[in-house]
Amino acid sequence: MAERGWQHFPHKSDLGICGWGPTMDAAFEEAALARTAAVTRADVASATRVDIRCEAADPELLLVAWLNAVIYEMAVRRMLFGRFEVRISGVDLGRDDQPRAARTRLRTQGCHLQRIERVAGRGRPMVGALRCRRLREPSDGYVTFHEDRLHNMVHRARRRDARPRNHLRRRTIAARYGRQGVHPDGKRRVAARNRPCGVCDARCALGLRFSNRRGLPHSIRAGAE
Amino acid sequence: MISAGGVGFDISCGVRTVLTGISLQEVRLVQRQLADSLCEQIPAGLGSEGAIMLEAIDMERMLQGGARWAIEQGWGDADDLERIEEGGAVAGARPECVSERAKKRQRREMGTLGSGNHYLEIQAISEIYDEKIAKAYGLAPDHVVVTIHCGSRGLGHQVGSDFLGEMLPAAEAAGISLPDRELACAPIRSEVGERYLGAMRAATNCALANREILGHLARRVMRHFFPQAEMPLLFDVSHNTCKVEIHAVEGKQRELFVHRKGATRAFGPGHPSLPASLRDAGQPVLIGGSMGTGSYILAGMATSEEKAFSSACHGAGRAMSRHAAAKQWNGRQVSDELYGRGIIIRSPSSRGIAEEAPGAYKDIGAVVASAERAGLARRVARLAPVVCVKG
Repeated sequence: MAERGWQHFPHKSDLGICGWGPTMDAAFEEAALARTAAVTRADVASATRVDIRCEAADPELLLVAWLNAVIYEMAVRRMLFGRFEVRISGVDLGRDDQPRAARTRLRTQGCHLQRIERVAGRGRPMVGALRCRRLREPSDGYVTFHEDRLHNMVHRARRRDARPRNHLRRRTIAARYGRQGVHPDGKRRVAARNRPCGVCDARCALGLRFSNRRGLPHSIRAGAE
Repeated sequence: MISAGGVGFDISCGVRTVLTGISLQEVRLVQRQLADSLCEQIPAGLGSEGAIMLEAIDMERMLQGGARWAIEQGWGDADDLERIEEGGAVAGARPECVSERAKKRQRREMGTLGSGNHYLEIQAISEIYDEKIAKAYGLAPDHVVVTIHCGSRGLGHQVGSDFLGEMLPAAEAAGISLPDRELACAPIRSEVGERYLGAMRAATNCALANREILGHLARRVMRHFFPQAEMPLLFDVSHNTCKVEIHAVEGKQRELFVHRKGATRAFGPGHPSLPASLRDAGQPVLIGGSMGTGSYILAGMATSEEKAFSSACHGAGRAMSRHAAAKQWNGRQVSDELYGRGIIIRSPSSRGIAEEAPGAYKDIGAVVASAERAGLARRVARLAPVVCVKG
């Protein structure tokens, strides 16, 4: 088994996630990666850093708080996260030379704790920090954004039983290359990163933002870290 | 005691069934267009967002008003209210007990289906078991109904998560040793218990409003294809709740806080809280199956009061985990196979379809037969899926 990593495992009717590493920090980072992988297997590239602070009475509850905080940020920022840096402090972890494994059960919209193995220390607050990445094009040749409606449109356009209408084709092209024709692999970058959206005043974090009821993309930011 | 885990994290997740009076043959003529339109109009999938964005004042009103609020905004039909549990809005909701994080999560999620096992289906009535009750419910063979299964979305989950953490020390302080930390609980009359009750009721209203809006969107699509269709609500019932009800305990009538987690309320004939039009037949109990095997409409039996505080099962139940199902099936393969059987699936997630493959669920027929034999609810009609929009 690798020194650090993650995996999904069956847990009753739900999906279990497990992250392990040489330290509990690393195990928490891997658990969060497993959480992202439950949403998409696409590569998520760095673009924006988000700091998250969590506190809990013990390591098990901290893992729940940590993963729920990641889910919360995903939901309200409409972002996916691909890289995590965790710093846990304020607790006596005992000897830190033993591998840690953080296991939890993932449900539709959240995480519920099973256990953390080989973890000592209770009753003190701990802190986590998070770094995120921006989506980039996966290897299968088309963009799988975290935005479900666009994801749906792209896939539907490829189905035999739902031929794309012209406007759907246009959206598919926009999904693949951006409205300005910029390929999201970063070969052609737009200089002004993180610029405000042309329709609303929000800044686009992932490269795509939807604001209207039809789910049309109206802001695309190119460039990757 | 009141338990956040005992209610569940998708607070007031539930099912509503709308009658259409449209025959299966008519639907078959436009089945694909209907599936595409429903898919386009009903936001579905993880983190899906709809056209509705709530400002703070609207959020407060929605958490107080439930389905009534949705109808006032023009997203529903006033006739629905008598066919919704609690008349469309649970009393005692305390929006101030719902965290800002929960409200922020819900801001753009009204009128969305969500992910997991949530669905919107057009179903054909394939078999009638009890003609008298079916007639009272307005069910006729080969007619189609629209069934929606969803809950309180991000808000409900955030409320559950927030209070799980608060209830653990409360349970410890009350001297309760928990076999599972997810069963975290607190005395109802404690400060945490009362705040949870207020927040949970607000989340219940959120779910009722969400289903009312989804019902409105589905009706709009159906009426586009079938302008003559009258679409009355059969019933809307939740299966993750805690409600104050009066039940007989050791021969005495007592007011109880009944937790139902994955269990549907199933009032028998004559129950005073049922609308007059349904009182003789008993409460409709809506049981979701899988997207391949169908669903059932049951009627609450009088004996369910004594046996299970007027409760019945809420669905088929999974036979295998999502992880195992996703490994065993491929979403496209499942979708194609069901298409060959006349069932059109629309979903934003291929993996989601695989996780929800019909083979991943228990035999729904055996489950409802058990519920009937146990005296909880009797079978009225079987529903076969025709179109399924899956979250």
